[in-house]
Amino acid sequence: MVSKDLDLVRRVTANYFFWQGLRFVPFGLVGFAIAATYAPWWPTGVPVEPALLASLALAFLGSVAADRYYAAAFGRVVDRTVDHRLRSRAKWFVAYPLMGGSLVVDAVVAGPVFLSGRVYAAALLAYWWSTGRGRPHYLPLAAATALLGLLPLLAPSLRGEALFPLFFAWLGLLYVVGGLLDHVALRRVMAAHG
Amino acid sequence: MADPFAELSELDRLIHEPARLAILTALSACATADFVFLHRLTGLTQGNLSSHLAKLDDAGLVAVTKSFSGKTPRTTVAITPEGKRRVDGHWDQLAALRTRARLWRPPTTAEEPAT
Repeated sequence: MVSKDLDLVRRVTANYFFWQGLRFVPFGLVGFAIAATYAPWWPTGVPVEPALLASLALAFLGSVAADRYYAAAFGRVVDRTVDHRLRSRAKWFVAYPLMGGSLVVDAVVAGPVFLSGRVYAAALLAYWWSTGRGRPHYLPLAAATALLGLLPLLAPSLRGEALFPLFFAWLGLLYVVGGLLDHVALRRVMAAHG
Repeated sequence: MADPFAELSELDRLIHEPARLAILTALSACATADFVFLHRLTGLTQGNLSSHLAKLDDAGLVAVTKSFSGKTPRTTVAITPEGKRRVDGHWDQLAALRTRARLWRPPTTAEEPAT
């Protein structure tokens, strides 16, 4: 086993949770649910909370099922929390506030460039970088997210909140596609060494 | 400069064996991992993995804990502080060897002793 393989062994072990892509696939539902509540066809007067809560509950249940599958198929790893402290702090104190803030700016300003496209693309790259890299699909997915933010330049009717349904549906799709490809990457690592 | 390749023989063989190095590398990146994970990650057979873990356990480099999850037996492995120290030292030694090997040049004929 060459040192490149050992480096992969180290990175996959240290970030095993994040490589278990099927855990994250159900959370695509939440993105789709948020997109639906912003869509013009969402019935007026129908509360959005039940739909959002139902999607969250389903996503949680799906994630629990995925956890059991991974434990049985690939085993369990307990992280060293100290290794994830910096990433966790950056997530809560930098990434999430920026992601929330950019949506507020986009809703208020409704400019020709959808700022959240770039912010979420950067967050996606940071996520990829801080969770062991090795899953190159995040690079085109981040690029596509950034490009989505340029859509109002081509279609001025999609400025500000008008882009929210498409953007949240895209985020839902990111969870599904990213999660499935993470799973494929994990299986490939295990099969290569197995 | 001394021949760096001669130093290869001084590497800790208990750690440098590829399967055990993979096990220790994985364990040094987490708090604990179970037998199934190490089995899937390293691709070792269960018997081979057990044998390597026993050697590492005997040397005090890993701690093996056996328990039950319901009726299912579960083996959890963690690297010990001594194991972490030894595997980190091993990586440092390998990195130093690699650097010296890059800089090393075979002795020229002028430096060879006259016969």
